[in-house]
Amino acid sequence: MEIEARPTKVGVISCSGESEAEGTIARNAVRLVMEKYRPGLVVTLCLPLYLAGDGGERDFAKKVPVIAVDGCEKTCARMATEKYSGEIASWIDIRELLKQWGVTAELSRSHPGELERELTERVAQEIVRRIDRLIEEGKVEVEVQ
Amino acid sequence: MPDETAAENHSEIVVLPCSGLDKEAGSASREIALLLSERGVPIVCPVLYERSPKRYEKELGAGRLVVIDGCKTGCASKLAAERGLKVARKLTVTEAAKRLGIEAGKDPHLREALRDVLPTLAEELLAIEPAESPAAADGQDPFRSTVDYREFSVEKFIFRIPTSGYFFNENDCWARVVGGRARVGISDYVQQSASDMIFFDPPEIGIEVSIFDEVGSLETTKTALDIISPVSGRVVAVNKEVVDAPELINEDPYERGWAVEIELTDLEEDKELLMDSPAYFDYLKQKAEKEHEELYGG
Amino acid sequence: MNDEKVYVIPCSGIGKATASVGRDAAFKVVEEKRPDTSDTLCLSLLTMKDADTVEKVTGAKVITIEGCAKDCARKNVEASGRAPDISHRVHDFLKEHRDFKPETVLDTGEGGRKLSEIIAEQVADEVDELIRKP
Repeated sequence: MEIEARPTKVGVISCSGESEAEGTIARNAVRLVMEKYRPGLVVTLCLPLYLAGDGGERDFAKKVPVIAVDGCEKTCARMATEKYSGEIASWIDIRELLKQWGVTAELSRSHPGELERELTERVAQEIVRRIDRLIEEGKVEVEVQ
Repeated sequence: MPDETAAENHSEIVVLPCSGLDKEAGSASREIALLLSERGVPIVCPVLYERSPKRYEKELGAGRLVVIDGCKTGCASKLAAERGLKVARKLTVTEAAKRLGIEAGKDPHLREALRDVLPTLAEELLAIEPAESPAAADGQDPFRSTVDYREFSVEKFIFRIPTSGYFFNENDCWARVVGGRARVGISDYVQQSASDMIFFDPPEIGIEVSIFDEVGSLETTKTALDIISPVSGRVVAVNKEVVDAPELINEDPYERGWAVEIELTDLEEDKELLMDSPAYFDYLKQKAEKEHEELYGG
Repeated sequence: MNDEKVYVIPCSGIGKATASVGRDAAFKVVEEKRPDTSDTLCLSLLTMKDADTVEKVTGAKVITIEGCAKDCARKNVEASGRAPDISHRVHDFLKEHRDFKPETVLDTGEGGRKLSEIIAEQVADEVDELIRKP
């Protein structure tokens, strides 16, 4: 990966997440981080656009550290980034996280309720932790808010 | 000369009547042309045009051509064909009169029966659809030349700007100038920022606009915005393709996605307030880098 | 090979509220309106030629729903080796229902939900037609 010296943004890419509820959590958590927790620092990469090769997604992902967030074992976000842009800086496996947190309830992919919203928040916080770690490691040049 | 006090202005049409002097139908052809000129339609005198084609270059380039032949001899049509003009509509007086139950006579003086129906025939000619873009006198699209682009990126977004032939205002609207006309549209930066176009409300054809006047409005999935004209002049065409499919602006903002065509009145003066392509490139790069955080939150 | 279901595939773009509308519409079709005759799947799996996904779609009919004019769902389906049977753009529906503009990506709002419902109704009918076709 040709990361520019001291990039000022972090790319975050989520899987598309149609098949499983964890995919919906992945998408929503990424969006939450971009809009609420780290606005101005995070650039979301659109996976379908990425795969279609359109726009500047692939090139941009070569220049900044990228966190991939996947909802299932197929790891689409991670695989796509590694295929088209290079090594990822960090990876989040939502299923693994839910396992760690002891979540066994069946979740909805299309009608997120209170539990899904709570889990989305927790995943968003995990993404934020990974971003902050990148900053601490000097891989991103920003001031922590 | 068009009547400048007329309430309407149909200068998007130009009329070439025949010059038949020896028959009633020839007189009727001239009379219909005069009725049209009272509605703002420029007349091309066939005799003068035959001698000096350049004389009417501007009018023929600006409007859709209506030809009026007095009879089946078709002198006006033949003249148009010889000059390679594209004819939008044609009227043959004898045929039209017959349709209305009137036989045009051999005497050149107009009789009441035929005179009475001439306003109706004139009205039919005015009903032709406005030009999508008036073609040049040679029938070719004067804006057809290839456009080269320069681009820069801000984060994952790539913005393109034509390298020449375009002028920009600070509202990120452009004018592409060819001869005495300009096509107007919005920049790649604006179309990306505003998101997907869903509606284009065009201005009326024929209206006069000054630089910085609104020439149409756009609605996107995200916002509504006006197209701010970089030039002064008269609106001579709107892009029907964009009216029907506004997403063309997203797909091709500088070429197929043009919105409005304007006949220029004072380009040199307007240019003093505009940026050429290199200047706009520098301006936009700074602006985009500064604004991008607010627009996209990262 | 599976020709018993029609696959309704949204683009699932993360950048636009219209993409969320398309996604919600797809879920309405496959979970509520035509759960026995339709299903959805992850576009990325199709593009990356995941074996299970390719097997599901082989011989099946596909409807794509695009969140914007970039047509990623159609392009990605085509990249997998076939074209969708029907392709929709959310903003074409928005042109006809101007009042139902969606609000945000995370919450499309009342307008967005209504638009999803309208799209889902049409797609559900299309599922029925495609199922009937040989």
